Amino acid sequence: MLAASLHYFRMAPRDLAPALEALRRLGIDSVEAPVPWSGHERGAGFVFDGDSAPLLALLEAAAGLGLGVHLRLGPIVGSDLTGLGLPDSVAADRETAARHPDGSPQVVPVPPRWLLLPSCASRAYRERAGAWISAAASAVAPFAGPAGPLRSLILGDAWPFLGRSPLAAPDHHPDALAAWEAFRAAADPDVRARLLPPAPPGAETPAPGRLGLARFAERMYLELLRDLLHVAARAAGDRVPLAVTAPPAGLFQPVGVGALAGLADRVGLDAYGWRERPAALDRDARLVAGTAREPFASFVPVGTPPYLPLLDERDQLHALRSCLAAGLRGVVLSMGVGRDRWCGGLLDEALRETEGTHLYRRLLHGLARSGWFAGRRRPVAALVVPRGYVRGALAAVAELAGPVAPGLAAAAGFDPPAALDPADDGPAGGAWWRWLAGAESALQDLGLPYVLVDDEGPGLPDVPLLLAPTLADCPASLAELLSRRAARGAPTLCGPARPARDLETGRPFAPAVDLSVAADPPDAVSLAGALGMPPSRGPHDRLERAVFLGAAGEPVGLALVHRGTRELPIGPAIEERAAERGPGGAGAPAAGWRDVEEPGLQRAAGRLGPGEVRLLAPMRKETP
Amino acid sequence: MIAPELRFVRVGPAELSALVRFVAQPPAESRVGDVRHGLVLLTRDGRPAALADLRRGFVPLPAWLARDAAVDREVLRRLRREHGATWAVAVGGAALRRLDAALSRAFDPSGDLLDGLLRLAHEAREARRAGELLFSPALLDDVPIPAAAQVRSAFDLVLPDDRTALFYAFGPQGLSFGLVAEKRRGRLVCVAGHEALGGIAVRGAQWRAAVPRILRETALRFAPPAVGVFGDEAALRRIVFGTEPAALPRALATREVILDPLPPWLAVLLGLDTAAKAAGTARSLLRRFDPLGLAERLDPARLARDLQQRLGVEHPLARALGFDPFAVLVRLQQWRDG
Repeated sequence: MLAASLHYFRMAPRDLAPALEALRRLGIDSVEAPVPWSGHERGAGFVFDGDSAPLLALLEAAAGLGLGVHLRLGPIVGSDLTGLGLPDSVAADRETAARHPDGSPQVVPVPPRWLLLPSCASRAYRERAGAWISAAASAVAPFAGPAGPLRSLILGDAWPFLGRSPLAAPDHHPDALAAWEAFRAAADPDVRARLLPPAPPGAETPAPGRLGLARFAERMYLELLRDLLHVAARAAGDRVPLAVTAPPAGLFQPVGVGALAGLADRVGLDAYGWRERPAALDRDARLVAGTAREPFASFVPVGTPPYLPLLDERDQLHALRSCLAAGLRGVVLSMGVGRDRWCGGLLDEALRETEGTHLYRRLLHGLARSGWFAGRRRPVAALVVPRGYVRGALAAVAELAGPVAPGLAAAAGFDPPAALDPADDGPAGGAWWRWLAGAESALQDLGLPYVLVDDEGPGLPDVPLLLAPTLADCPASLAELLSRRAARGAPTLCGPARPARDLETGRPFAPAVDLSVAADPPDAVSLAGALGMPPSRGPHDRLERAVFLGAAGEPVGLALVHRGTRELPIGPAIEERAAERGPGGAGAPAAGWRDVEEPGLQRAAGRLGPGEVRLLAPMRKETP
Repeated sequence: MIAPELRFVRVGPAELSALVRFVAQPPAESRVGDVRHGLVLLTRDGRPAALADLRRGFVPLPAWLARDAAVDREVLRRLRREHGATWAVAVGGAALRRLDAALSRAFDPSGDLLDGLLRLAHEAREARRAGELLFSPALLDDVPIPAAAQVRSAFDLVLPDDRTALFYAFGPQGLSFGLVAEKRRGRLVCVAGHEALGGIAVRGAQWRAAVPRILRETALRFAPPAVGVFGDEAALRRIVFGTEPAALPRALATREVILDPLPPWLAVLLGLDTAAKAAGTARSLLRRFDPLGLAERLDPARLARDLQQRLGVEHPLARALGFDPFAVLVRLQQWRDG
């Protein structure tokens, strides 16, 4: 999936085919298009053709050129539209809006206006959103199937969730209050007593009292999304793969990536990152790559919205390479064609290449030529991100920062638990984060390819080494998993405390005697020892070398991520470690490695600068 | 004031970056620092709880700041100094919830982003008076906040309907950024970049030659210009960030800045009308008896405004806003506590 965004609803139908043709020449194999509810609603019905909403024309044009199409149905598509693509009747409807305790609506700033935040629990909103998804999916269903251009339908958008923290300002819509009651009634009695008070927690409720609210708020969004996925699947006749998206919030997603991955195999990351704060995007990408079955980057910026002009060209290419290096198996470059309310793109509105387009062309053609996406990244270690503790951190920050969106802050590099007391070993404290950050740093010191995993996802990857921050209060499923792994002798490290009782019910666990627990975060030496690696000589170069293997186990790619502070010559950087058969690794190709982005057949050369990400492909005799 | 269908047309990423640099990064000699470098001290019951440095993320509280210490302006000032930050704010969850609630109560589906922001600014002022918010430098406390109706009047004065406003900055390599704002039926409907004018070439220091064509194309493609500011980027930055007392008249005299068209309200605001002439005459007279060149340091615009005030003439923008925007700018350029 090498896709580029194209906003057909901002173009004349006659311009669609030339735009698609121009994008295809750049090396993309499909286009991604948001389908805004507001652009297609006409009175009580919906329209999908005609000059103002030429969705069907887009599909026909793509089919004619052999290009695929991925459609983002929302219901909230964003796309810098007024009201984020919601029709005015929804964006300004107080009846379907989330509410404060006094009945006033919850609002979020969405330039050029303010938007009423729809209540995920509102039955009226769910019905209207369902009708929209059903109509849109039905309209495009004829284009599905092996011969059709429709490749996937992408649902959900958590931007409103990012716009404010539901943990600081819970929804008091009548349907939300009724849902809270039902949620309480269905809960384990101990959970109910500990975490679910009769009324949703108020402004003065301390952080631990908000953990139940955090779970509830996620449940509301997930229920909405699950219903919409069912609607879309039914309307499209189950012939189109469905995908969901996660916002760029580092590890502090308002909805867990694990839960999203439980709804759909394909989980897309909207990857908006800052080069000066690479950790946030890097963690985003590794979390989605480590948790979802089919992870991809559903939004990698090419250009920038005028309201948030923080990314320059280097940031954008870095974001793209970071996503690929982390193992995301597909990218959507946004924008493919320049448009209103966006600065930049691969092509401008007149379909001329922009200043940096040649860099993307080289990368896109290189990825296609090398078969990059045929490979799977083979991590050596997985670092678990316990969702229960993430909720604790979000709850603690909600107490401190009110309704300010922690997800947005996290995307900009403000990790919520970094604001918490590192000595506090409660679920709303910072001790678990200190351990996780320390363990991650040790993995980076060693240069081991690793992923991050949401423990509430569909499963943990089978990796040689598993690391997990744990407190005495620990999610039951995580404690059980760690015990099982330890019992069979698989290297597993946790800390800063041994799991002793269930985070939610408070019930004690049977002690896991085999489990290796470290009060302090592991360092590089202890990790190397756990993996049976020889101790390293000298200072660490902090260069990660992640090998991508094809179906037959052959190397098809090598991603270098340089986190050190000094430049490294690339030749030795490859030869030293990639040629080793380390844990989970693979041998180097006999003919060596070349830069994916270089059209020739020269061996990769030059130097790797601090912070740089480089993608390499094996040199093969048959490579044209 | 902002149309819901507001368009951004062909604003290039490089132009946008240059604009951000212009707004956020004052020249080194300015008293104002990089406005992106701020500190947010999150408080709980008026005590420090967490510190966010906008450049570095959350950072530990300094050892001298105990978690049970009361946060006052001196604390903020010291934090700002130690972090080299341009500004700092101390705020608690209660204040943020108060702002949020006020915004929700005042929500108007027909209102635009600016309406809400003005509402927020008024609430922030109330929160400051209640001691729930602290700013450093303190001069932010007293920045006047006009009502939405006043801003609308000022906007109508500055940019009449069916007209455009242009703001262009040029560097040694040519265009840094060029923006065209178009207004229809009382609302800003379009912001366009220079490319939207059809690719008029601008050659380095020869940018003045391009101004007439830029104005012509704007009139043809959008609407007739009502006001245009064209200038050398460095000179514009000196004017905006106050690094020289007489930066504006000097730039106008040397044609580092061109105002074209120059609407009456701007002429009055800048003292380029009769009052300015009077001030200019005064300077000429002074120069005759001024071997040290002190007259060169006099700002005729300021002299003109003083004259206007003495004559009881209020400039129209100040009348619309309820305060003198130039006085506010001059005050902000000082950027100091106390």
